Amino acid sequence: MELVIDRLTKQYKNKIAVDRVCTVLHPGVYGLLGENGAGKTTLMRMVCGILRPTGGTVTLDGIDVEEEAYRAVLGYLPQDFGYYPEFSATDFLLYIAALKGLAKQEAKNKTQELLEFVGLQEVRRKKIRTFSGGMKQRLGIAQALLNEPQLLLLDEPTAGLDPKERVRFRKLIEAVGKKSIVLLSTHIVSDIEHIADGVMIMKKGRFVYQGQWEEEGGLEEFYLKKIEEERENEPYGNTLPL
Amino acid sequence: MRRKWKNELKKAFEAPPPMRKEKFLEGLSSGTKRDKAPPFEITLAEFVLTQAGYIRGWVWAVSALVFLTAMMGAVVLSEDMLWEIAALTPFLALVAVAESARSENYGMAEIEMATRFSLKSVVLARLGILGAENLLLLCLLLPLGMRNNPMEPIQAGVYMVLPFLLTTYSGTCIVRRIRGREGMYLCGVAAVCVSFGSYSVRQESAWIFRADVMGWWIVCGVLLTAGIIKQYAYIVRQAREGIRAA
Amino acid sequence: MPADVTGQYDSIYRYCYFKLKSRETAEDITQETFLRYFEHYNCETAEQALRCLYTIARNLCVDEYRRGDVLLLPQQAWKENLVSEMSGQMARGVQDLQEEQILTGIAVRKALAALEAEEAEFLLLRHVNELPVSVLAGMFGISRFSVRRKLLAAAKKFKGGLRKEGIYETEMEK
Repeated sequence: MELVIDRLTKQYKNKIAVDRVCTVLHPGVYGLLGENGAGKTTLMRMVCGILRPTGGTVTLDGIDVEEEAYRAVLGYLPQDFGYYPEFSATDFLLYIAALKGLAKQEAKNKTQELLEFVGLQEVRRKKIRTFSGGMKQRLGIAQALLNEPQLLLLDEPTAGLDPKERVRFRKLIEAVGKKSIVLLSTHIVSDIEHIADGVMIMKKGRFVYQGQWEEEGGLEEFYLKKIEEERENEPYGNTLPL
Repeated sequence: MRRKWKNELKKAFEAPPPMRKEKFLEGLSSGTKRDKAPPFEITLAEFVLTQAGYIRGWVWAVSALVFLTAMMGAVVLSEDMLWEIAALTPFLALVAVAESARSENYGMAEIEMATRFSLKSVVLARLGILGAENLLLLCLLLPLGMRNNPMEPIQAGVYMVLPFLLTTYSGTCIVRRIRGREGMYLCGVAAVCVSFGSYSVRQESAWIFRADVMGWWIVCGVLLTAGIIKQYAYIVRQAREGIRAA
Repeated sequence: MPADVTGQYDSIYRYCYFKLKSRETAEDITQETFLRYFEHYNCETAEQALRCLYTIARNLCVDEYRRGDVLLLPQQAWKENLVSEMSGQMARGVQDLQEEQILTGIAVRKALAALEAEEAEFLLLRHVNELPVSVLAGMFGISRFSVRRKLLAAAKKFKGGLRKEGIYETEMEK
């Protein structure tokens, strides 16, 4: 299984949000690190097909991002997501399962399984509006896993999770990453430090580093070093001249 | 069969766990190159029916209320209900527009866009269901509107439908440009204005309801219908291409 | 691997085990079923896929009988297994199960043992593997009406067996 991102670009009126990004990913966990405004969310949105790129392509085993076959094996957790106010946790998962094309019984089985897994089984009938931020986030993770995705994209997935939930989340991602491609965009370096097979560091719409990081020092040090190096090398940034 | 007995049957038919399942499935997946999507587990018809189940109760309640009001007035009270019905149809349009913009308004659009059926299918399903429901309702309301009114059916139909079309068109223009609750409030204001306007115009300017002016009404109807189709086509395109997510 | 096929592995395996009563053979036939499905079939809908899978599995099980690899006739094997399950439960006693659960389980197995193999097969496919009636009809080459008739008859006989054990009426009242 192979995700190929080839010269992916997103340009707005006078800003390039993602600038000719290229990478090839195989099953495993990959961290996407970068400061605010680096282009991580824009990149994630293009890779999951909800934002049309200005240029470049994204394919999974040769299937283009715009095709239904691509979405059939995709799981996505956006950075911010809402919910229909009348929905309970179970209603929400069953609704998303229907959109993912799961049959009724399969949807029920997976819903039960995932609610158990993310620790929301006891509140499955409660309305989502009564949930805390961490509970909503866990529900979001559950919906991303409904169709046992081969490509799992998570945008800031641990926001609002307490340390115990973060550890549980890491174990889950490690397990999923054994057979699927997991791309995790985060500010929190510790989320991926021990589980990622590689990192991609993004700055001003470009990858300034991708691969495994050096052994000595933690990932955070490595990340800061790379960002600093990039700052020294490119003083002009990548905005278009007005 | 009751669930309890189903569970007992499951236990009775239980087999010892398979020993070679994981390895076999892994081998199968690495050997099989996927070149098309796995088959749908639900059909399109089942998906549309599912979506019908998710349309909010108050949408159907508004339709029922409009119908019952027309029924009460025309049948029970033997009143001329044509203008009252025409004043109520904007609210049918309002609920349809609100329902079609629901994903955006509640922040669900991004998740829905990334699913297999996708936001486009959800929007189309909602439009289809509510469009069919409104068409059926308007067909039921027409005879009620004509019951105590000597007007020709086509004329009565046009007067009844035009406020609906005007509200739908203005509503879709609004939701395309203004997202969230603000957009919905403006749509509500538009519906009230059209409703009030259609009722009071009848009182103040009866001349525009003469038969010789009918042609202009039909032209307006055609233009509004074309405008609505264009707006909805754009909304569906937005749902497909994720322009709004930018 | 598409999610729906993984789900069907366990169901197909359960069905093959019911038919063949041997874990090893059931697993061989299950895997052969999937290999043949992927080699020769390209079903567009889930219903068609289910019909194909179960038809292949059923035919392969029949081939196994004919080959003589299955030592017992299906009916005998089915009942033998139920008896051993019942003995196992009674031997375990109340240590890991409530007494009521054990008694209910035994009653269910006794009621099932009184059924014909085909009747039990229908109950398994419809109520345990949750196959649609249309898939059953395609599998057995009979009409949906006939499928429903057979299911009703099997369920009636099963409930009669439970009543005989004194379980069903009491539970209905609850």
